[in-house]
Amino acid sequence: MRLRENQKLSLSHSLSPSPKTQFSRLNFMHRLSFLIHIRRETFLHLTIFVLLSFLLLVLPQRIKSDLSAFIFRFTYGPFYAFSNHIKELERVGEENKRLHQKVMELSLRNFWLNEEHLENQRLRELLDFRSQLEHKVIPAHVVAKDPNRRHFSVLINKGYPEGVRRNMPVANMHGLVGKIVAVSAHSSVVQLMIDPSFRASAKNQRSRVFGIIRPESGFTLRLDNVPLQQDVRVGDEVISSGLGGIFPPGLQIGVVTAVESSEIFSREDRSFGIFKMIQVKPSVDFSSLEELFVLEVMREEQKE
Amino acid sequence: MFWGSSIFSKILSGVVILFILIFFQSLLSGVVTIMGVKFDLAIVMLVYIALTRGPTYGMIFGFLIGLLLDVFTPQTLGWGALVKCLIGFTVGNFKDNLYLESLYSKGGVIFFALILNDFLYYIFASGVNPSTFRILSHHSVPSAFYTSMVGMLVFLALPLIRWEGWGTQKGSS
Repeated sequence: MRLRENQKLSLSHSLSPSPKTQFSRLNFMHRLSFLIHIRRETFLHLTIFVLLSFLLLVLPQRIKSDLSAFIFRFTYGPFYAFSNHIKELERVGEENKRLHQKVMELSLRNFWLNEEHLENQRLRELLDFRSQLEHKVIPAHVVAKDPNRRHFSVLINKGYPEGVRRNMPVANMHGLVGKIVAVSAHSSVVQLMIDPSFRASAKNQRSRVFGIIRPESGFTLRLDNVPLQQDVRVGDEVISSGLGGIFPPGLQIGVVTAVESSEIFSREDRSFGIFKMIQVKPSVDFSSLEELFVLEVMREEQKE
Repeated sequence: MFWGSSIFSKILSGVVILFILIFFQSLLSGVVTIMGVKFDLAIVMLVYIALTRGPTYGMIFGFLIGLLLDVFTPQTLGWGALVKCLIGFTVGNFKDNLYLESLYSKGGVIFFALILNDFLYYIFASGVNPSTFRILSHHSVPSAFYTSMVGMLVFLALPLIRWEGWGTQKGSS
């Protein structure tokens, strides 16, 4: 038995590499220790969390929204409710004074507008004109910004009971801001136009050229899919086209700041000289959003 | 398994504290911005915890904080959790395998973690195209530099706080 072991040892000794090779192997093993030292249990945990993440990713959008709203309610909810309450108190005091003044002003204007509205209705009936779209506006305040560094979304203080629903467009007095992506009891998440995954159909107000608006780096936008021969100039206003069914037509998006049609620039963007490269400066300042309006777009068939 | 042990409670307490920090970051985002460049406190804390506690803590912490941040972008729910989980795991493995006594090397790890985080995020959000790399070079690199600077200060300050569980070096995963 011992003899056999000795034989084995001598055999393995004769087959073993030179000390230099042994050293390089040891060095290599030491480098590989990064992988070797990861225990099986750690790998198991990693696999669980990776699978859990993928499971979350493949969930239907509606479930994702509900789950986000649920997590939000039990984590951020109390903090934002508290800070919102304090902000609200401050704001209410100031607004109260301002609104008293405004009420007086508006009640007077309202009287005249009622008269004009009736007149307008009469004229419309005469012309047999029916508007295609009508917006019910839900005013909202921004109560929190996306805590990620990128600030691609904001949280508003209106939710399901106030009539806010997913995919409703959001605007402010300067123009289109984004759309609702998640709704909870008394808050909703607004995806801003500068989110990399945001897309909307848009058109040039002057030349009526259609394109797809998408975010460029930082706070700028880009109007894509505009053929080279189309007429787009610097300074042109870009508005929502109404195609796609989410955003109503005519909402201000921004102003064209640069138009590139050189082949090199297009090729860089894989357009191979077919499309123009149009840079658009958004009309909305995304760094200082405070008061927003959720637009409930009612179509003709919904009204009837 | 970690579920029955004190590890889970430590992670939970860490997440609660980080959650408060995120809340403050969202409140102070305008104040701490330098020429449009913001720092990422979540990455700093993730790197700190992964480097002091190892890959298991890093990945769990990364997953939870990623999920908390994903709540604000429900359309990509799960991606932030996955990215931060992988970053926590990767950085946690540096704990015993790289020479990280120097503060600058820790800053370097934060820089690397943030670039990786942004790269994976933008790849998922808008695919591989020139604008992805433009965003990375124009926004992520300055932000990573700023976060590294802030992170090094945080790394200097955190061991001074006698914080049960997280400040100590003993007991890795």
